[in-house]
Amino acid sequence: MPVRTESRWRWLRPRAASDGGGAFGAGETFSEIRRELTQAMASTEEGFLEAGGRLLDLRKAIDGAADGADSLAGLLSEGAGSLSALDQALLEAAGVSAYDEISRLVGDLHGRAHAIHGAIQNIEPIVRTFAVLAVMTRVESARFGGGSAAFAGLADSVRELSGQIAASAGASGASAKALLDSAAHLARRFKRLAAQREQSLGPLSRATGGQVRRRSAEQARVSEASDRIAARFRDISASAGDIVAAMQGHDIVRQQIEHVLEVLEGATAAGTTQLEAAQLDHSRVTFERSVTEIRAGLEKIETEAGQVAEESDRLFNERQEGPDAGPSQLESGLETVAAILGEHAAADRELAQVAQGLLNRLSGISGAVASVQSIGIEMRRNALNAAVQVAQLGSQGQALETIAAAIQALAHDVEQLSAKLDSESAGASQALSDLVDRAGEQSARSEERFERLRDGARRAAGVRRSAESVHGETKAAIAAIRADLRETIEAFGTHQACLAAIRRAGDVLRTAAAGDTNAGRDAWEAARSLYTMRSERLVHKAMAERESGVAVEAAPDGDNVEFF
Amino acid sequence: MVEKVISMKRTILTVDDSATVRQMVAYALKSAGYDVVEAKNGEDALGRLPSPLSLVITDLNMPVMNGIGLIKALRAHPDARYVPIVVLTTESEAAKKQEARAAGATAWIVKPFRPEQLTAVVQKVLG
Repeated sequence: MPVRTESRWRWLRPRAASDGGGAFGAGETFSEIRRELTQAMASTEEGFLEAGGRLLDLRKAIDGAADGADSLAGLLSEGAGSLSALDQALLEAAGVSAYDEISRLVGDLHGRAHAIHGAIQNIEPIVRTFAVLAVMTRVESARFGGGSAAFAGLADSVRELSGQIAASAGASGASAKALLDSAAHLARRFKRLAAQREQSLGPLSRATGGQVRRRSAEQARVSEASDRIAARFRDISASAGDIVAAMQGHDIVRQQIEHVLEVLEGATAAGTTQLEAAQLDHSRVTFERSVTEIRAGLEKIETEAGQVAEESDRLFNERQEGPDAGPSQLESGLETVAAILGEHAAADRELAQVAQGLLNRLSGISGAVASVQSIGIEMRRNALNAAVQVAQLGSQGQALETIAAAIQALAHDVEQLSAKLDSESAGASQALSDLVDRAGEQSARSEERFERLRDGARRAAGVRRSAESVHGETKAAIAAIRADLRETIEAFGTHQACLAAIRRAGDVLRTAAAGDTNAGRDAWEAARSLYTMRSERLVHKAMAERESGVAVEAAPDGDNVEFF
Repeated sequence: MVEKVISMKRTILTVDDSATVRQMVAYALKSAGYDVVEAKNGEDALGRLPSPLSLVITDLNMPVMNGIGLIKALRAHPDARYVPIVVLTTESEAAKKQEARAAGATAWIVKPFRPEQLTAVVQKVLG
């Protein structure tokens, strides 16, 4: 026959009274055990809930930190592309191949301007000789009276034409002098620019290029490290799953205690007090393990978050302390290279403009040269005509013949000089045209590189600022996570009272077990039906086997997860 | 890492008398992108049925109305008749499982669960 609750708890009181103290001391009853256990579980649930709420916030913060590290990795990886373009622009800026051709053209122009100037200067003595020959022609022609008209005409023609040559050569001489001066000025200026390129732009571009490559390598390293940090954050976040599992220990223990109380309260389980005590011991161990696991999980997260924070900091500090890797050094280097390129672009543009002006001036010289050439031809024709007439005079015209031959020879010299001038002018014109083109192209290239470098410097600075900002935010997030965790770990301490209550209840039951003389097979079987959790059944089986000395068959168990 | 299901928001009703367990279930499911409605027992759950409802996760041992009572009530409810029901319990006895299965449960998970385990079951049940 089942024993009623009243009679079951009757023996508990005297036994507890004889102990003379404690929470379940004299006069205390089952209802007091139940009240204390229920209160203990209720009060600890508040602590669990608070820790659970913080765990949710922490998980979000850790995921946010992982996203931050991911975004930093992406930002730096993207920045690597800009740095590669910068490196290319700097390599091009350091190169001088385009200026070699301009230098050659400037040298060629200078040489040709010199030749033109020289050739024009050579016309002057010819013109003076023509004047003398014109006078001699007039003197000689006077000896032939009325037949001298043709020779007088030759003298006039020589004087007039040589005057025209003198006028053309005089104008061209001034232009040629100006051309020569300008070409010399261009050559000097270009030499100065070339020296500047060679001495400052080249080395600076190469040095800055080195910094860009170092920055790029550093960013790649930090990007990879940020990927690793993001992965570690995600691992930390996933490890919160252990805490989630441990958190449920509270519910499991609560139900175990409820089962024990239910058995104690029931009218069918007298004689199993040792079992109830063992079940409570098991609950206490389960609860303690849950609490330990939760604290350990939180501490692990706190430690790992600290390690990640240190790693992240070390990465950034290494980057900032590295040689020639300071952000301002690289960015100011880029700014300086860009500024020099900007100056060169302006100089190249001016060079193109000057060359265009010289080209216009040269076309004036070319016109004069063509005019001198045609005058020379006309003069030679006149001299030839005079020579034919002198031949009709026979020996009397010997002097005039000599003069006409001299005029022809000089006219031939004029033609040759003008042909040389024509050739040099054409060459100078070509050199100037090429110079206009090359200088224009170079100016456009310099401007384009200038823009690329400016843009690259801005991007590099932007990436650095963003990276520092993201790093700062992540660092602050980690610090907040750690502070939260420390607070949570500290606050998570309400379990001691609960453990003490469970232990006290177990002790009371063990003390009472000596008086629990109603043990029987039916009582153990009835208790078994109330202990439905796997761990409870294992405790029941072990205790039942100890009690009876024979093996007890446990109820069949299923998988932890099952689909119906 | 918990896989995030973000293709569409589905609402899951979780029923447990333990606030800690409800909190942990909500934590796991919300992290995976689901909306979660909480109820503390079977009767409370019937008064909070969300619409549309994608899934119910229920404990067995609860005051007022236990899990088996809730499963039977849901199977009789016009809006929840075909909604999958996952039992999440400390119990593991085959007899208990059989009882839940007979009442209309879809799957069974023994506490304690890990978030990825719960979301895997939910994803499988929701197809």
